[in-house]
Amino acid sequence: MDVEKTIEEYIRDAFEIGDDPELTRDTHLFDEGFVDSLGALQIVRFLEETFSIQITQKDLVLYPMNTINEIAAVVHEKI
Amino acid sequence: MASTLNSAVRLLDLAAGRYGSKVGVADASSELTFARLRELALRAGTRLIREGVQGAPVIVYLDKSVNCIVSFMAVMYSGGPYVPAAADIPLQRLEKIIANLEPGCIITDTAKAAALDGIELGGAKVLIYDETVGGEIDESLVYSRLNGVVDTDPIYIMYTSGSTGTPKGVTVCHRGVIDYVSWTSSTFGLTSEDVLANQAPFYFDNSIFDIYGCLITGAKLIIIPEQFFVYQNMLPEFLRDNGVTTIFWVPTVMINVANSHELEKVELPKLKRVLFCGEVMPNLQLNMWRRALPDCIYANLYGPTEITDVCSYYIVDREFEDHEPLPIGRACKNMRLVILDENNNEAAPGEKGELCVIGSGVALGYWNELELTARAFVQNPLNPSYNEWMYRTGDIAYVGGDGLIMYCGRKDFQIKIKGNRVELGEIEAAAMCLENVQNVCAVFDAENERIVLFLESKGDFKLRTINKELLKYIPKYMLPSALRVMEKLPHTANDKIDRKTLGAMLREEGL
Repeated sequence: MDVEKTIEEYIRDAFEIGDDPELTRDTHLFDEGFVDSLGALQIVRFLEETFSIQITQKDLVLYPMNTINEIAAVVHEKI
Repeated sequence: MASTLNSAVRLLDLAAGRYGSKVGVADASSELTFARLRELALRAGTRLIREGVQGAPVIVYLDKSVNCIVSFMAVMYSGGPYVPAAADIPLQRLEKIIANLEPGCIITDTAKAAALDGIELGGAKVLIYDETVGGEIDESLVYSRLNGVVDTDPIYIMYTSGSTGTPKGVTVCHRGVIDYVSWTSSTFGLTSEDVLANQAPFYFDNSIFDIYGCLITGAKLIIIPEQFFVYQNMLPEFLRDNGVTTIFWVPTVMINVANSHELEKVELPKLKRVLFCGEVMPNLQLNMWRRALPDCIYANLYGPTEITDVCSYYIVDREFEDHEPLPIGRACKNMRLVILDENNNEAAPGEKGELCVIGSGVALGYWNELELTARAFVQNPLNPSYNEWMYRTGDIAYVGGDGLIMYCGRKDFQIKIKGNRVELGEIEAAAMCLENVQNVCAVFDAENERIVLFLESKGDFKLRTINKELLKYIPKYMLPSALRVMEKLPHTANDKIDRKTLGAMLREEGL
């Protein structure tokens, strides 16, 4: 499965971003205003269900999880 | 005894003496024992004195980390007040602060020092943190300076939103902080065994409880990595894995944690005290915490930056229905609360009025703003006999039948959003700088807890693009979360923007 693509498609769809070219895989999702902190919770639930993984507070200390690529890096570590 | 100290940095000296080898403060990448914290602060303090700051304020402009705590202590060793600046502060805002403050130095890192090149520093020296802690210690130099400090000297200046667009520097004295944390540690029984998890930014007064509450008791302070305030559902796990016993958080974070339902999944046997302050805490979510953690002490604390941190408290001692309001309780030790009616008489029990504060925590005023100071800090009108310094909070409150004070709201356009104090006027001043905009009005949509920005323009605007522009002037927490563009904003008969009509439009039509 293309992890990056799956995450990007989910985020574009769930947060009504559509095909806005300003969102790249290295865009800061929260600072740039694409996702708010309630959205962050949704993203974690999506990752845990879709990839059957558990994301823990230790992951968050180690990885920033602010961009699609950073989020995908955590998923790659776990699958 | 804390009550005989002339400077709050003496609390660090005492902690280093008693608990020197114990970890005092930690962040995601490092931890410092109390002895090491003192040593680094003495190095940097020596350097500051040698730079000739002579008690002038020093801005600490660093990423949130243990380095901030070292710098705050260093500035106190140099005998002057420190000024916390957020790492992501808009440079235009920092420039305004520097112009008002006339600081002696700015402690920062190399990356931020480069950013400072573009703004007017008014002669302030830029010192790199790593270099300031690399030098030697001259104890006799530091202590001869420190011995000259009196407890009514300023300890820090915290900049808060100003209604004209210029932030106000609330200037607090050592006595206020020392008295406050003497009260918190005895009231909540904190000891050197405790572990506090710090949420509050250091430019926000809630952090005073965390920093000085740990110094006075020898407890450990853990600075929660900022990432956890995006992924707030991860906070309970963080508390569990770090053995946290005490939290003092802003209600917005407590609400988000409750709503994530993680409290039902993560066991927190070590957590003993859950304190909150900064905005109204709804019982709906507090009850979720109480059901998940029935053995914790819960306390609702109240206080504006101008009275140090907290002037009243209520330890939750009974059941509340989800829709009931929580009292803000009674005055803390060494603080007195007075409710004044419109004629400056004391309000009768049950009668609403402006909450006013007297006591050792009341700030010295707004830095370099004597007129603004005179409006909010006044002679107690009930006292004709001697000088009695009183702060008028602008908050409306009344005393309930049980003798507990109830908070009702504001008498002006100041709002609280996610615990941050915001003057709508500051957002409007920033929005007036947008191109192609004739007029603006920022309205607080209380029902949805959001700021709505109305623009008078014929142009086409997107909220995200506008917010990018506004970020040059105002911090992120002030950004509007909804936008409406109109060809003409409604006006009242005397030609002011008609806020009431705009508010009614929001309620009736939405956006």
